[in-house]
Amino acid sequence: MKIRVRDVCKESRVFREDGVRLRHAIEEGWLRADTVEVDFEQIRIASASFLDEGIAVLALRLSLDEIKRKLRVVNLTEPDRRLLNELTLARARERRGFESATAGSD
Amino acid sequence: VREFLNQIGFDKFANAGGSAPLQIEPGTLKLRQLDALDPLYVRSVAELLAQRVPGTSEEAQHTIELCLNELLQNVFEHADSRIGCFVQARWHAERENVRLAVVDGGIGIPSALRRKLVASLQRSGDDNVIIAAVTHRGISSRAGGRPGGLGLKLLREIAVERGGCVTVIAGNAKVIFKQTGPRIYKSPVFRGTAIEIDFRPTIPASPPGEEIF
Repeated sequence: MKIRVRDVCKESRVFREDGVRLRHAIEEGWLRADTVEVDFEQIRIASASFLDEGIAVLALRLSLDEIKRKLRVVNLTEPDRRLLNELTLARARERRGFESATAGSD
Repeated sequence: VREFLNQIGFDKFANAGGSAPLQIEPGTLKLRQLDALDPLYVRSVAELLAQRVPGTSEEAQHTIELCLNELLQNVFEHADSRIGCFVQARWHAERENVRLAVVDGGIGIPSALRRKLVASLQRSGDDNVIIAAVTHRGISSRAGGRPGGLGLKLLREIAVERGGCVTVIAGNAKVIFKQTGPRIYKSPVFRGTAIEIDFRPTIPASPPGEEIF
């Protein structure tokens, strides 16, 4: 399944709410397809809020392996790709921290 | 807020704000008052600064745009400021650094976090609340426990990684975050929040860590 960011978010790609729209589209595709491809068409985002809410927070409940296996992000500008990687790793660390805290409290 | 702007030297830059075109003075964009995050304004500031600082690459322009977007989203998501905010952008071509400042007249970072009953911060002073907000991931005043709490940390990392610093003024504290860590200063009580990020956009980001995408 292919998602064009421009189709989902139109011209608004800065706010967390815009990111939520993108994530909902991804989550819908997640249930229906083996892989989900998100195409940024080289549009510059430069918003941590959008990339975090749209994609990175998936790592709060999915493993990085699962994300790598099922989600493809294409045509993202290089600075945005770097930012998205950083945000996703931060969310994955947050999840691991939460899991260890929960395990520790058992 | 006017009084505070005057104290920190903003007032002399003040103009009518609104939707007037960007006005350039040597090294400074005239102070602008915003009542919402305007992505076109942010992009035009980033493009203009990138033209003014020699050697600024597309990546550096991206960094400037990212910083302004995060500073402004903080204001309009968390500050509860009836006057919106004031934005100041300056550049120093010789030192190749840019300074972006956003000042709002809202409730201030310490009150915003205490209002959300972040338990560990209830008895902390304004300085320590600011330090927690800027250095600890996951501390956010976003409603309903939704994800957040990355913006200020990201700004600090961007600035420090690029030879700069972040200054935060709120409540009775002023904290400057540098590579060596936070330094606390006393400040006249200010009910809103003022944040300035000072960095050299031409310094490249550190090598990427694990690649997910």
